[in-house]
Amino acid sequence: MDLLWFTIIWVIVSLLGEWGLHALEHLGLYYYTASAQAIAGEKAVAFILTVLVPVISFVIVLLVYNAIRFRSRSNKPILSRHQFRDNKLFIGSWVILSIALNILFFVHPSASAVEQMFNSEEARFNRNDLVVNVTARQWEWIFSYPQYGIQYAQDTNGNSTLYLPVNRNVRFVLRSYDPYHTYAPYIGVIHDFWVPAFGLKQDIIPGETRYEYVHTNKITSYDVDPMVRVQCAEVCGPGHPYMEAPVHVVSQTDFAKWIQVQKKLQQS
Amino acid sequence: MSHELLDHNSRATAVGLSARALRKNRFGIVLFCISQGVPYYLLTNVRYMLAGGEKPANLNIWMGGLLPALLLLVGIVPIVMARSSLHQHKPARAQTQLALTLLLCLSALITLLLPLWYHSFDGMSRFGEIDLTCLGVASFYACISFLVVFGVWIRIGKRLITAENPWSLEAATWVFSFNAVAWTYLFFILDVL
Amino acid sequence: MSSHVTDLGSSQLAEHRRRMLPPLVRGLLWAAIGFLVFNTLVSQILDRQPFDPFITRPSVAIGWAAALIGWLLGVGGWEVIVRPYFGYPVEWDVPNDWRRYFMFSTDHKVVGLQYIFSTAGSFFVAGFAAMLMRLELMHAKLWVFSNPGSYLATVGIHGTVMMFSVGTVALVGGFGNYFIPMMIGANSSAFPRLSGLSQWLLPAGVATVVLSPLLGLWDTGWRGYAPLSGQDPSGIVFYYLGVFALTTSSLMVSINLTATILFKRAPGLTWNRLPMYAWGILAVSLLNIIWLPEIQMTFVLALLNNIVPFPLFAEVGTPLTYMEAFWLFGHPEVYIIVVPAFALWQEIIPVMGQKTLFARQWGVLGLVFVMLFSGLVWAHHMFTNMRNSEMLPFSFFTEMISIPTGFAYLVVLGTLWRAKLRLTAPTLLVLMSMFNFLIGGITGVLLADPVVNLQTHDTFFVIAHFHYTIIGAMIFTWLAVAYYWMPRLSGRMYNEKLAILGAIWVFVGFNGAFGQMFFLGLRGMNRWAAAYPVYLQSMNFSVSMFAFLLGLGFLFNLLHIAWMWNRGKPAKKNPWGAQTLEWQTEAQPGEKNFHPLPRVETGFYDYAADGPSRKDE
Repeated sequence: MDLLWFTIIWVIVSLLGEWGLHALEHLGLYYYTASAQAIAGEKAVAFILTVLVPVISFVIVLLVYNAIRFRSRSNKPILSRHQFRDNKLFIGSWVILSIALNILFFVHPSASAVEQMFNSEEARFNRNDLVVNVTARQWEWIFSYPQYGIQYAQDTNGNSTLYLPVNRNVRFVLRSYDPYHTYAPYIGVIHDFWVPAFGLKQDIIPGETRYEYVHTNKITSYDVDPMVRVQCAEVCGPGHPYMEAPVHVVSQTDFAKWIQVQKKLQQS
Repeated sequence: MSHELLDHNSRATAVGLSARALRKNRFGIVLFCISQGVPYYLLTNVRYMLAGGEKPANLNIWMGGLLPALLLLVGIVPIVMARSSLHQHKPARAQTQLALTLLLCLSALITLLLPLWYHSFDGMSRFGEIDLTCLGVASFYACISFLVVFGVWIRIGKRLITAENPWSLEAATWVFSFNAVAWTYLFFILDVL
Repeated sequence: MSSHVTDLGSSQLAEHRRRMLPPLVRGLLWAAIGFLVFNTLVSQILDRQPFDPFITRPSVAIGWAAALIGWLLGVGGWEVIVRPYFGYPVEWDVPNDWRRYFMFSTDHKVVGLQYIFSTAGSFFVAGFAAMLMRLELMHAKLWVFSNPGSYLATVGIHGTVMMFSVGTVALVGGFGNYFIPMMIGANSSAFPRLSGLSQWLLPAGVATVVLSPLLGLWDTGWRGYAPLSGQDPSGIVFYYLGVFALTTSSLMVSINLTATILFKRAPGLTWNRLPMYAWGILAVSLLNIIWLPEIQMTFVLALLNNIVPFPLFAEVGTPLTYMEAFWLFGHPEVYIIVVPAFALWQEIIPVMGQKTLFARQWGVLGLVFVMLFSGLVWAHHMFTNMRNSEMLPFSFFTEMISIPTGFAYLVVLGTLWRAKLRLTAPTLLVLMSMFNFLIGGITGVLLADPVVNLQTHDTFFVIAHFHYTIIGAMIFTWLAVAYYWMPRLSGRMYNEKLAILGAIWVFVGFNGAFGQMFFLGLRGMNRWAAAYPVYLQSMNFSVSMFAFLLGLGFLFNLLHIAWMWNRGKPAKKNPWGAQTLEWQTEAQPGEKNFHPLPRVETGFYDYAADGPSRKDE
């Protein structure tokens, strides 16, 4: 009888949970996405949570059900009439299900999504990448576009800014050093290149050159959503919170215009 | 003191440790050695992460290398012999043997500290950093094992460690041998392999 | 205990007492002398530096080591350890009153209480730091702290003290030292002098970390990341040194408790009958014995990196090595914190439900396999440094570790089914703890997925996740056992209504604060930032409100426990009807637990009415 009631409540709560989860997803449970990679992450979260909602509800409903249904009305210790130390069916299905779920998650989304994400780094996909050299120093991002001869992309106030064309593969070349103090080998610390809306980040280690690949899929900018910004995500000293720069994802023509403006700025 | 300590001390002088207490103490020492082996594992990793298999051309294999390793390893012999002297109720001879171990330990310490002081490799170089670090770690443990053996030497002199109750000597042997083997291992990683 | 200095005449004893300062005062004095002498020796004679500063990095490190030794000797190490080691008789009288808590003691119950008090103190010191952080984060711009560096130093102190002197210690050094020997039917721990010494490292380490900003604001957070730490002012030196003292303390406790469980078990207490808590402590201790020396060596390297200085972890050295070595310890640390909590769930629930523990062997398997797996998952903290093929094995093991973790739930849920459950404060807190760890675990599955991890890494999502596992599971369980064992510790009962109020209070505060942090992280709030974009301010404000509620909730529970400790109704012996051995004795600190030693005939978790353990009642 308890089993039946519990199962009914569990099924109802699971269904409510799934409904609530999808309502939340609709409202944007995850984050603002502006790249193919971010969407892969969003899908992975949605998949894992969808599968796990019945599991979560099982544990929570069982905890609450047990606490209410089997509570003792006396403060004195009274032995329960049901004493058992084993239930092969329950234990067996618990163990097998938990192993099966974990293997499922490892195969999908973990392995499959990682495969997909890193596929985009393979050379055959990256013949026409836009290359952006990203230099992290304490505490500033410096963006340069070697294909266009732009050394230091900046806005009219002289602050660093990152412009990207939409629907392009972008290869960020990440380095941590201080171009103004190249004689000091100790000055580089670990930074982390993160654009929240792009859904991935990469540590930048002094002395190493690393790459991050992003496929932009939406025209947007820092003014549209503040998650479209470059933010240092690894603590790098007192200036760490201020190590950010706005990002603009623009159309191909706007990008070409911006390049012209930058070239003029470089010359002046 | 607590009962336990009093029990321990009275038993120690009179009847020695029970078989179970002896096993317990040995187990404690084994745990100590396992835990202290881990830093050597880490140093090995750092050596290769930092300097690869690099060995400088002007490497002096003796000072801060083979010499302390040999001195420490040879030092194990008298401390082990001291145990059998103790068993034969010859504490004075055991003391002399321990004094020999102490002497060897001290000379090993000196051969570790000298290269640490006159460091021939720049602390800014990759090999220099790991070499100096390892010498420092080895000197620290050599000091510890010296103190441990020294305390045992004094207590044998006071006839507090006897044939019936040789545990402290055994513990000191473990600590001393651990340090000897550990430094020899580190020496191989640093200077030979 | 009062008459144990039998080898001294009473006149000698009186004379001895008259000559000695109170041990704490003497410890402080010797520490001060040690520091001054060795600091001066190094900075003025051995290693003079330009402009002749009195305190230099090498001098402060050496001076600190001397101060630590002076402190340990002063509180009693001199009489109890050093002099006997060189063959002098032990002359150490522990008076049978409050003073025994303020000196070196070898009674495991005294040491346990000393640890319980030091961890509780550390918890509130570090908690105060957390409150300052939340106060700062109520506003998007700096307003409490004058610069982001002092915020970062506060973050670092909060994390370091919480990790190394609360999380790692409270359920092991504290309740473990007090209850493990009792639960296995022993009168003392295996190496009582070792455990007496270990306790005194704790206040020294906490003081070192908390006072570190005196030497300069370090800004690395609790991890002391190099190469950033290489640029830091000298405060970072005290971080490494303080953590060294704290980890040494835990290492000693672990060696002691492992040997205790293996060799001091009462006759008849076979492995099949070993209490779950003892299994938990065994698993944790093995983790401590392997991983604490690992992090200690790492910190020694980082210390040398700072004081010599070496460029070990700078651009010209190997910057990633520190990170690797740190997380190699760092993930087992999480299980060091939470495994005793798992074990305690399985200890409390059968008692409160008066029902036989379900699937005990699976519970033990779970604890052991969590221990084994925990060394295989560390690099999931570094997915942002890895590529495809490197990520997958760590992702695999990180997901797999949820299986043995789940066994703890299997056991408790099975035990709860058709129990006669008393909804007391300990029960409620265990259930809350299980709920919280469930949330922590589910978000852990998300974080184990590399694609998700690359977004949520280093955001408030991760902060929320690990606070759910640490506060949510371990601190809630800590509170549960504090109430559960209070009648045993103090002989008095707490007030059930107030305790349940306290439990609900912290539960609401906790979930309100950290539940929102998941969303804060997803919205792009990064860690270690005293200032942040304005769009995050309203949510941060609301997190702070719940955080203050949580802080007050902990304070409420503390005051309640402290009050009832002295004024509560006297408790009956074994009020919960437990079968484990700690309830079979009423020994207080200074008294022998068992006389004679008990003989164990059955396991402790069999509640069948006609079960063998019922027959003698």
